[in-house]
Amino acid sequence: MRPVLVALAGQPNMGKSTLFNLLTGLNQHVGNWPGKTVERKEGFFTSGGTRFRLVDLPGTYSLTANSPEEIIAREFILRERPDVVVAVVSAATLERSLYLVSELVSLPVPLIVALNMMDVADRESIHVEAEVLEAALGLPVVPMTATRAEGIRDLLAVLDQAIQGKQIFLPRQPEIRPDHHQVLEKVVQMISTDVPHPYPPDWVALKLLEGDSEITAMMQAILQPDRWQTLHELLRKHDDAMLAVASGRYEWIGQMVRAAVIRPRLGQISLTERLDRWLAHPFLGLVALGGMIGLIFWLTFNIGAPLQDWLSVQVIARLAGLTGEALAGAPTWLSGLIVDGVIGGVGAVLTFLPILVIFFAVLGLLEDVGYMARAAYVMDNFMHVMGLHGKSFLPLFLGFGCNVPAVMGTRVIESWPARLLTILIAPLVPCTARMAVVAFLAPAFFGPYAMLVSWGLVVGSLFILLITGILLNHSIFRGERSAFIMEMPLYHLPNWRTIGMLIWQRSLSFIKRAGTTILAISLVVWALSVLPSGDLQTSYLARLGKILEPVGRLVGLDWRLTVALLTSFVAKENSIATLGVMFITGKNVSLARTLVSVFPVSTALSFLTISILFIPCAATVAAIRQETGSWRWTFFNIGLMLVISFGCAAVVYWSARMLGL
Amino acid sequence: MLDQLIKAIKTGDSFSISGLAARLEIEPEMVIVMLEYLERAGYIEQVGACTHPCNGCHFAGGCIQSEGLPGKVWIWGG
Repeated sequence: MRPVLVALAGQPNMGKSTLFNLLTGLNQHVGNWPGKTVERKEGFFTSGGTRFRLVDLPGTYSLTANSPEEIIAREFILRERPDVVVAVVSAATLERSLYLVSELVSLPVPLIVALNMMDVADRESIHVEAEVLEAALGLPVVPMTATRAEGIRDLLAVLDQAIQGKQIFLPRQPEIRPDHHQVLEKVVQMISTDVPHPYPPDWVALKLLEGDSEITAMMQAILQPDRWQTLHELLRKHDDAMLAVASGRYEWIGQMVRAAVIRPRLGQISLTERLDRWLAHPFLGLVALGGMIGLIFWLTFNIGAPLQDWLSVQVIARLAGLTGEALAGAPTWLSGLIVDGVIGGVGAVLTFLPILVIFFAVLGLLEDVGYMARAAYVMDNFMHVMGLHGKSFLPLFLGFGCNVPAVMGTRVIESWPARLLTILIAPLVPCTARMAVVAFLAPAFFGPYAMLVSWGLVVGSLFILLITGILLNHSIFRGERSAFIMEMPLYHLPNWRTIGMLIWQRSLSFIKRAGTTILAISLVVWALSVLPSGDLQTSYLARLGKILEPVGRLVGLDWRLTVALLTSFVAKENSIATLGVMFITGKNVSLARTLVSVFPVSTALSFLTISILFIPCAATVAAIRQETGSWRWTFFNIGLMLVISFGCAAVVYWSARMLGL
Repeated sequence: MLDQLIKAIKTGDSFSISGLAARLEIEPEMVIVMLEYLERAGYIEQVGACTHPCNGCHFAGGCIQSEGLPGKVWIWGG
């Protein structure tokens, strides 16, 4: 007697293989489907005196010819006509699992639904009422947890009833969207006499409307050319029918889920919803984001800046003094190298650490509680208002950490003009290093107004980014618009260990940079500042600075600030290291205080403005060259940033001068 | 349901899953499933900001993608 043929169908990761192994044990055979490289698993088992042949169909999301697996699954069901098909679905993700069931119910085979992963659903407090689902589907539904072998006996009992004809199958079918009912009927009429065995005409008609390539090719080969032409014209006229079919299926799934699934209203979800009414609001969200940036600077200046000042005076300046005394008998060049070059340069930059730790801590906290996704969301909303491309936003958002991943992240944008535009404006996003330079100088020059100045610089540079983006957008790729859909995490309590690790990793990365790139440049700057005579004023550095000074003077910078700015090309923090080399005296006075005594507020404002908008660092320039593949666009970007930074600094400097600052 | 979702995202605005769910009066899970369908059908595309994983990336230390951004972001129309 022929064994009862049972096919196991289901989407990937629904526990289908677990169920197959459980039923067949060692009595199984693994091979390939004929002519395909897709694995075929088949096995035998006996239950209640009946011998079953179980075929594990490949995991598929649907039965449309999108992949070999989908073709294999549907051809097996249609051609082999199994006595029963068991659709394995997950109780925890019923919305996802039921799409395949919505297709299986259209096929002429008895269908049993194995409602697997009940344990996972329980853990997630999702309650699926199997008997309600059974009534709604019009099919037997067996709740089970295959990993614990729970529900297997019930499944076998239902199988037994099915093969004895005691099980009623009255599946409720999904319907095509009402506006396509007539088209479907028309297609069925046109093909019903020609559809070959074993395909049901209704199913073939649906597949034709869905644009299924295999079925379309089959019908084209079967129909007379004139009849095919008529059908083809009709299908072409209704090329949106694929969505009409899918829409009907999702309506059907929605009805099943609404009937049978009870999801708890978690406190966490309602808290997220309440917070998002404010934090993800198109306007209030932007206000909140502005407030967050202000909060970061407030914390930085109230906690980080005093620590930085202490480190600068009590550690770096004192260390410079002590080292100078210890090296009193050593050659002057050696003393200068250690005190001015190493301690002055790298030491000045290392005093950033408390400021950066505050940055990293606050950013890490905002990331960990789930806020940063909201920041990205409201910023994208704003960029849409300005006409920027939605896909440009994610790379730009990365720029707040470092401009290099921002430039490299533009690879997700296929449209070359859009990608180029994003690359060109990415360096206008103030990275952590630029913000640290601002955070270092602002408190010394602006005291209680430091937070306002810093906030203004960051918001101002974002405003310039938007203006530049709009201008380039309208001139290069004319306001292409695409929706942006984000899956945002729930707000949750921060994990302090995660935040601690993040601070540690990012701080370590900064210290490594201080010990390599910044140290090297500090030594070069020091050498240029003492050669050839040992006097700074007649040094090579001074000569270079004085050549550039006329340009610097336009924005209130003397040759020393101009040179400091120039060295920021290697790494943004180098501007402070260079100032450290030139200004740290070893007299227990911090660099910031020394600078305040030398430069007026108007110059400080100008220097900060130009620093935050200046040409990107060398690593970013290299990334721009790599990603654009063009020196022309790389130099265009450098030129653009120079024009913007000098233009803005000039406006700021001369406005400050007019105000008597 | 699917039509309403398409109509909403065709506007070219920015959406969150929960925002779309509230707008369509369905569960967020249903929205995700429909977005996944539209992705498979080629109507929308799932994107991340980087084409390579953070592990091994030289700039991961300075990057804010690792934890801060959501797991999935879809773009309509590219």
